[in-house]
Amino acid sequence: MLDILHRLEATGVGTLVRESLYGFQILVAIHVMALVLSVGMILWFDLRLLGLALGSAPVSRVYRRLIPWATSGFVVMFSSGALLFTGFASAAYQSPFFRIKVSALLLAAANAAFYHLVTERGGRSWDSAATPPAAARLAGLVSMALWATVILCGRLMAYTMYSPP
Amino acid sequence: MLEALQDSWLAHEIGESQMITASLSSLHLIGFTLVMSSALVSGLRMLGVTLREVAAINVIRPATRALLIGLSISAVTGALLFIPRAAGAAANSVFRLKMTLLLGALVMHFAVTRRVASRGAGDTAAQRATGAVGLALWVGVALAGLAFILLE
Repeated sequence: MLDILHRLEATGVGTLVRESLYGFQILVAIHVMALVLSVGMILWFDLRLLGLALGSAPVSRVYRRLIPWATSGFVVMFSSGALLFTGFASAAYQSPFFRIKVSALLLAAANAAFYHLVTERGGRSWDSAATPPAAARLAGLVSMALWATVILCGRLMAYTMYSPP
Repeated sequence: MLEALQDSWLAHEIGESQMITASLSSLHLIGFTLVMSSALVSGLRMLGVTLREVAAINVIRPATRALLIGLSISAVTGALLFIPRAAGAAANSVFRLKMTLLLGALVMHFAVTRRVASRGAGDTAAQRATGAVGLALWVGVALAGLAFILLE
């Protein structure tokens, strides 16, 4: 595995990310700004699910309004993240914070899938309720907890990737 | 005075511990996400770009709460991060720009945006101008903060 990652780092793209004058800084800046667009907008949907904000609008309406922004945000997050990864693949792979980050990302996706495939199915009855039922609220809370974990680990990873443990 | 701050035991504790600095920085980023997402959703609503079926004040009110929570987190962590490098940061023009824009964004939000939002549906030109200025100020804070940390 490390062999593959070292080869990835040695590619033109990987080298550019590491060694260009401002490539790394620009990628990090894009990654952080897109965080607001992606997780930032999902946060507002989670707050609606928790019955803490935007209660006058149906849950499905809030979702439809916010999700296009969140989706574009996530496209940028994954692109910039992938580029950053190519530059520092082996260190990232070995970082415990990176592994927790990726796990939290996968769990966040699973949480969202479960909400949309299961919880939302009964949505007609409570769509307009200011406070949705427990399962929906739990989805919102779990989402917020997982995304907070992703953010914390992303930053901690950056600080600790190249230091001795 | 700033040098004295930099020489304090707290400055040494933070400055010499990578884990403390890393933890403060990551919590600062949590605060950042709360502040900026509140700024974004407020700005987009004031611009009339999204959530138009919700009254502006019903977006600004919860956004203000989230903004204050995020601001508290970022202010405390920011202050602690500042202490070990107080003199250097205070002299840095990018850092000063960030703080100036932050002050501007906060004044804009509390003195103008909330007021314009509570006026109701009739004031769309004022709402759009408010939304644009507010958003620009907050994006400025974020970019200055990134420039400070990435280019120092």
